[in-house]
Amino acid sequence: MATTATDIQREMIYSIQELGLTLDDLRQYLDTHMHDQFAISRFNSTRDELEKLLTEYAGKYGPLTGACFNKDENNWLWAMQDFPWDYE
Amino acid sequence: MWIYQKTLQYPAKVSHTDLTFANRLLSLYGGPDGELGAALRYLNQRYTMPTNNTKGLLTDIGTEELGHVEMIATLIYKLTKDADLDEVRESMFGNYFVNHGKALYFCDANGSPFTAAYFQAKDDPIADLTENMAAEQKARATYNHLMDLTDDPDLLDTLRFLRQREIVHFQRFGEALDQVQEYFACKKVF
Repeated sequence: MATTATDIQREMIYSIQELGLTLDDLRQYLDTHMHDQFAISRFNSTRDELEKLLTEYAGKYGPLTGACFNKDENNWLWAMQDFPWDYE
Repeated sequence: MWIYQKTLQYPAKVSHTDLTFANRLLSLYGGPDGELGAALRYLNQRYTMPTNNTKGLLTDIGTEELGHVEMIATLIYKLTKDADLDEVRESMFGNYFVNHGKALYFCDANGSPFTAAYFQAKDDPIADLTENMAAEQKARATYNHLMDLTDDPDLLDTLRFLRQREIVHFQRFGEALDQVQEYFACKKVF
Protein backbone atom coordinates (compact mmCIF):
# COMPACT_ATOMS: atom_id res chain seq x y z
CA MET A 1 0.00 0.00 0.00
CA ALA A 2 1.91 2.97 1.30
CA THR A 3 5.24 2.35 -0.41
CA THR A 4 3.36 3.73 -3.40
CA ALA A 5 0.97 5.80 -1.29
CA THR A 6 -0.45 8.90 -2.90
CA ASP A 7 -0.62 12.22 -1.07
CA ILE A 8 -4.38 11.82 -0.71
CA GLN A 9 -3.91 8.39 0.83
CA ARG A 10 -1.32 9.76 3.26
CA GLU A 11 -3.61 12.64 4.21
CA MET A 12 -6.39 10.14 4.91
CA ILE A 13 -4.09 8.15 7.18
CA TYR A 14 -3.11 11.31 9.05
CA SER A 15 -6.78 12.20 9.51
CA ILE A 16 -7.52 8.69 10.78
CA GLN A 17 -4.63 8.99 13.25
CA GLU A 18 -5.83 12.40 14.37
CA LEU A 19 -9.40 11.24 14.97
CA GLY A 20 -8.15 8.06 16.68
CA LEU A 21 -5.97 10.07 19.05
CA THR A 22 -8.88 12.39 19.86
CA LEU A 23 -10.95 9.33 20.73
CA ASP A 24 -8.16 7.79 22.85
CA ASP A 25 -7.82 11.00 24.81
CA LEU A 26 -11.58 11.53 25.25
CA ARG A 27 -12.12 7.90 26.24
CA GLN A 28 -9.55 8.15 29.04
CA TYR A 29 -10.89 11.53 30.14
CA LEU A 30 -14.42 10.11 30.28
CA ASP A 31 -13.24 7.15 32.38
CA THR A 32 -12.71 9.63 35.22
CA HIS A 33 -15.43 12.17 34.18
CA MET A 34 -18.34 9.84 33.46
CA HIS A 35 -21.07 12.51 33.47
CA ASP A 36 -19.48 15.13 31.19
CA GLN A 37 -22.18 15.55 28.53
CA PHE A 38 -20.04 17.76 26.30
CA ALA A 39 -17.22 15.18 26.20
CA ILE A 40 -19.69 12.34 25.51
CA SER A 41 -21.23 14.24 22.61
CA ARG A 42 -17.78 15.10 21.22
CA PHE A 43 -16.76 11.42 21.60
CA ASN A 44 -19.82 10.26 19.64
CA SER A 45 -19.41 12.75 16.80
CA THR A 46 -15.67 12.01 16.48
CA ARG A 47 -16.41 8.30 16.46
CA ASP A 48 -18.91 8.75 13.61
CA GLU A 49 -16.35 10.75 11.63
CA LEU A 50 -13.65 8.08 12.12
CA GLU A 51 -16.04 5.27 11.18
CA LYS A 52 -16.91 7.11 7.95
CA LEU A 53 -13.27 7.71 7.08
CA LEU A 54 -12.23 4.08 7.79
CA THR A 55 -15.04 2.86 5.52
CA GLU A 56 -14.04 5.35 2.81
CA TYR A 57 -10.38 4.28 3.08
CA ALA A 58 -11.29 0.59 2.88
CA GLY A 59 -13.36 1.28 -0.25
CA LYS A 60 -10.54 3.22 -1.95
CA TYR A 61 -7.37 1.43 -0.85
CA GLY A 62 -8.01 -1.53 1.44
CA PRO A 63 -8.81 -2.46 5.04
CA LEU A 64 -7.07 -0.73 7.97
CA THR A 65 -8.71 -2.81 10.68
CA GLY A 66 -9.71 -6.47 10.85
CA ALA A 67 -13.32 -5.27 10.92
CA CYS A 68 -13.14 -3.35 7.61
CA PHE A 69 -14.66 -4.96 4.50
CA ASN A 70 -12.36 -6.36 1.79
CA LYS A 71 -13.25 -4.53 -1.46
CA ASP A 72 -11.42 -7.03 -3.71
CA GLU A 73 -13.31 -10.29 -4.31
CA ASN A 74 -10.22 -12.19 -5.43
CA ASN A 75 -7.45 -10.91 -3.18
CA TRP A 76 -7.21 -10.80 0.61
CA LEU A 77 -5.84 -7.24 0.84
CA TRP A 78 -5.37 -7.31 4.64
CA ALA A 79 -2.45 -9.72 4.24
CA MET A 80 -1.06 -8.20 1.04
CA GLN A 81 -0.65 -4.56 2.01
CA ASP A 82 2.16 -2.90 3.98
CA PHE A 83 2.27 -2.63 7.74
CA PRO A 84 2.78 0.76 9.42
CA TRP A 85 6.55 0.41 10.02
CA ASP A 86 7.03 -0.08 6.27
CA TYR A 87 5.15 3.02 5.13
CA GLU A 88 7.63 5.61 3.99
CA MET B 1 -10.40 -9.01 23.06
CA TRP B 2 -8.47 -6.50 20.97
CA ILE B 3 -8.88 -5.15 17.44
CA TYR B 4 -5.79 -4.11 15.49
CA GLN B 5 -5.66 -0.98 13.35
CA LYS B 6 -2.99 -0.91 10.67
CA THR B 7 -1.76 2.59 11.50
CA LEU B 8 0.54 3.87 14.22
CA GLN B 9 -1.18 5.99 16.88
CA TYR B 10 1.02 8.93 15.76
CA PRO B 11 3.61 9.11 12.94
CA ALA B 12 7.05 7.71 13.88
CA LYS B 13 9.65 9.09 11.50
CA VAL B 14 13.43 9.39 11.62
CA SER B 15 15.66 11.62 9.45
CA HIS B 16 18.63 9.26 9.22
CA THR B 17 20.15 6.00 10.45
CA ASP B 18 21.46 6.27 14.03
CA LEU B 19 22.59 2.99 15.58
CA THR B 20 23.76 4.50 18.86
CA PHE B 21 20.41 6.16 19.45
CA ALA B 22 18.56 2.98 18.44
CA ASN B 23 20.53 1.13 21.09
CA ARG B 24 19.58 3.71 23.74
CA LEU B 25 15.94 3.77 22.65
CA LEU B 26 15.70 0.06 23.52
CA SER B 27 15.23 1.21 27.13
CA LEU B 28 11.76 2.49 26.22
CA TYR B 29 10.96 -0.80 24.48
CA GLY B 30 11.91 -3.42 27.07
CA GLY B 31 13.59 -1.43 29.84
CA PRO B 32 12.46 -0.83 33.45
CA ASP B 33 10.36 2.26 32.56
CA GLY B 34 9.55 1.23 29.00
CA GLU B 35 6.29 0.92 27.11
CA LEU B 36 5.96 -2.89 27.31
CA GLY B 37 6.19 -2.76 31.10
CA ALA B 38 3.57 0.00 31.14
CA ALA B 39 1.12 -1.92 28.93
CA LEU B 40 1.47 -5.16 30.91
CA ARG B 41 1.35 -3.42 34.30
CA TYR B 42 -1.96 -1.67 33.56
CA LEU B 43 -3.72 -4.46 31.71
CA ASN B 44 -2.72 -6.93 34.44
CA GLN B 45 -3.91 -4.74 37.34
CA ARG B 46 -7.47 -4.52 36.04
CA TYR B 47 -8.90 -7.68 37.59
CA THR B 48 -8.74 -6.62 41.24
CA MET B 49 -9.82 -2.99 40.80
CA PRO B 50 -12.91 -2.10 42.87
CA THR B 51 -14.75 0.11 40.33
CA ASN B 52 -15.66 -0.28 36.67
CA ASN B 53 -14.32 3.12 35.67
CA THR B 54 -10.90 2.20 37.09
CA LYS B 55 -11.01 -1.07 35.10
CA GLY B 56 -11.95 1.03 32.07
CA LEU B 57 -9.10 3.49 32.56
CA LEU B 58 -6.52 0.69 32.96
CA THR B 59 -7.90 -1.02 29.85
CA ASP B 60 -7.79 2.16 27.78
CA ILE B 61 -4.37 3.37 28.91
CA GLY B 62 -2.91 -0.16 28.75
CA THR B 63 -4.22 -0.49 25.20
CA GLU B 64 -2.68 2.85 24.21
CA GLU B 65 0.65 1.70 25.69
CA LEU B 66 0.56 -1.31 23.33
CA GLY B 67 0.35 1.24 20.53
CA HIS B 68 3.38 2.99 22.00
CA VAL B 69 5.32 -0.30 22.03
CA GLU B 70 4.64 -0.44 18.29
CA MET B 71 5.77 3.17 17.80
CA ILE B 72 9.07 2.62 19.67
CA ALA B 73 9.63 -0.59 17.68
CA THR B 74 9.03 1.35 14.46
CA LEU B 75 11.57 4.01 15.46
CA ILE B 76 14.24 1.42 16.34
CA TYR B 77 13.51 -0.48 13.12
CA LYS B 78 13.83 2.68 11.02
CA LEU B 79 17.00 3.82 12.82
CA THR B 80 18.73 0.50 12.09
CA LYS B 81 17.31 -0.92 8.85
CA ASP B 82 19.61 0.86 6.37
CA ALA B 83 22.83 0.50 8.37
CA ASP B 84 25.61 -1.49 6.68
CA LEU B 85 27.91 -3.89 8.51
CA ASP B 86 30.75 -1.38 8.79
CA GLU B 87 28.46 0.99 10.68
CA VAL B 88 27.24 -1.84 12.91
CA ARG B 89 30.81 -2.93 13.61
CA GLU B 90 31.82 0.52 14.80
CA SER B 91 28.76 1.35 16.95
CA MET B 92 27.56 0.25 20.39
CA PHE B 93 24.67 -1.45 18.54
CA GLY B 94 27.22 -4.12 17.56
CA ASN B 95 26.82 -5.95 20.88
CA TYR B 96 23.03 -6.14 20.43
CA PHE B 97 23.52 -7.19 16.81
CA VAL B 98 25.50 -10.29 17.89
CA ASN B 99 22.46 -11.70 19.69
CA HIS B 100 19.55 -10.31 17.70
CA GLY B 101 20.72 -8.91 14.37
CA LYS B 102 18.34 -6.12 13.49
CA ALA B 103 15.35 -7.93 15.03
CA LEU B 104 13.42 -6.26 17.82
CA TYR B 105 14.10 -7.74 21.27
CA PHE B 106 12.66 -6.62 24.59
CA CYS B 107 15.65 -5.42 26.58
CA ASP B 108 17.12 -2.19 27.94
CA ALA B 109 20.00 -0.13 26.51
CA ASN B 110 22.52 -2.46 28.19
CA GLY B 111 20.94 -5.60 26.73
CA SER B 112 19.31 -6.80 29.98
CA PRO B 113 16.19 -8.77 28.98
CA PHE B 114 12.73 -7.55 29.94
CA THR B 115 11.41 -8.95 33.21
CA ALA B 116 8.06 -8.90 35.09
CA ALA B 117 10.13 -7.74 38.10
CA TYR B 118 9.80 -4.23 36.60
CA PHE B 119 6.24 -3.90 37.94
CA GLN B 120 3.90 -5.04 40.67
CA ALA B 121 0.33 -6.16 41.28
CA LYS B 122 -0.66 -5.75 44.96
CA ASP B 123 -4.44 -6.37 45.06
CA ASP B 124 -4.54 -2.92 46.64
CA PRO B 125 -5.87 -0.20 44.32
CA ILE B 126 -4.22 2.63 46.26
CA ALA B 127 -0.80 0.96 45.98
CA ASP B 128 -1.34 -0.01 42.33
CA LEU B 129 -2.55 3.42 41.18
CA THR B 130 0.26 5.15 43.06
CA GLU B 131 2.77 2.86 41.35
CA ASN B 132 1.22 3.81 38.01
CA MET B 133 1.60 7.52 38.71
CA ALA B 134 5.29 6.99 39.54
CA ALA B 135 5.70 4.84 36.42
CA GLU B 136 4.36 7.62 34.20
CA GLN B 137 6.81 10.11 35.73
CA LYS B 138 9.74 7.70 35.36
CA ALA B 139 8.83 7.16 31.71
CA ARG B 140 8.57 10.95 31.21
CA ALA B 141 12.04 11.38 32.73
CA THR B 142 13.41 8.66 30.43
CA TYR B 143 11.93 10.51 27.41
CA ASN B 144 13.59 13.70 28.67
CA HIS B 145 16.98 11.99 28.94
CA LEU B 146 16.64 10.52 25.47
CA MET B 147 15.55 13.84 23.97
CA ASP B 148 18.75 15.39 25.37
CA LEU B 149 20.73 12.88 23.30
CA THR B 150 19.42 13.56 19.77
CA ASP B 151 19.02 16.52 17.39
CA ASP B 152 16.96 14.60 14.80
CA PRO B 153 13.82 16.79 14.37
CA ASP B 154 11.59 13.91 13.18
CA LEU B 155 12.63 11.68 16.06
CA LEU B 156 12.16 14.54 18.54
CA ASP B 157 8.63 15.14 17.27
CA THR B 158 7.61 11.54 18.02
CA LEU B 159 9.40 11.48 21.40
CA ARG B 160 7.73 14.77 22.36
CA PHE B 161 4.32 13.28 21.58
CA LEU B 162 5.01 10.16 23.65
CA ARG B 163 6.34 12.22 26.56
CA GLN B 164 3.16 14.30 26.49
CA ARG B 165 1.02 11.17 26.77
CA GLU B 166 2.92 10.19 29.96
CA ILE B 167 1.83 13.52 31.47
CA VAL B 168 -1.82 12.99 30.47
CA HIS B 169 -1.80 9.46 31.90
CA PHE B 170 -0.28 10.70 35.16
CA GLN B 171 -3.19 13.15 35.42
CA ARG B 172 -5.79 10.42 34.75
CA PHE B 173 -4.28 8.00 37.28
CA GLY B 174 -4.26 10.82 39.86
CA GLU B 175 -8.00 11.38 39.27
CA ALA B 176 -8.66 7.64 39.52
CA LEU B 177 -6.71 7.48 42.79
CA ASP B 178 -8.82 10.32 44.29
CA GLN B 179 -12.01 8.57 43.18
CA VAL B 180 -10.97 5.20 44.62
CA GLN B 181 -10.13 6.85 47.93
CA GLU B 182 -13.57 8.52 47.92
CA TYR B 183 -15.18 5.18 47.07
CA PHE B 184 -13.54 3.51 50.10
CA ALA B 185 -14.45 6.45 52.36
CA CYS B 186 -18.13 6.18 51.33
CA LYS B 187 -18.15 2.42 51.81
CA LYS B 188 -17.05 2.79 55.44
CA VAL B 189 -19.98 5.14 56.17
CA PHE B 190 -22.49 2.50 55.03
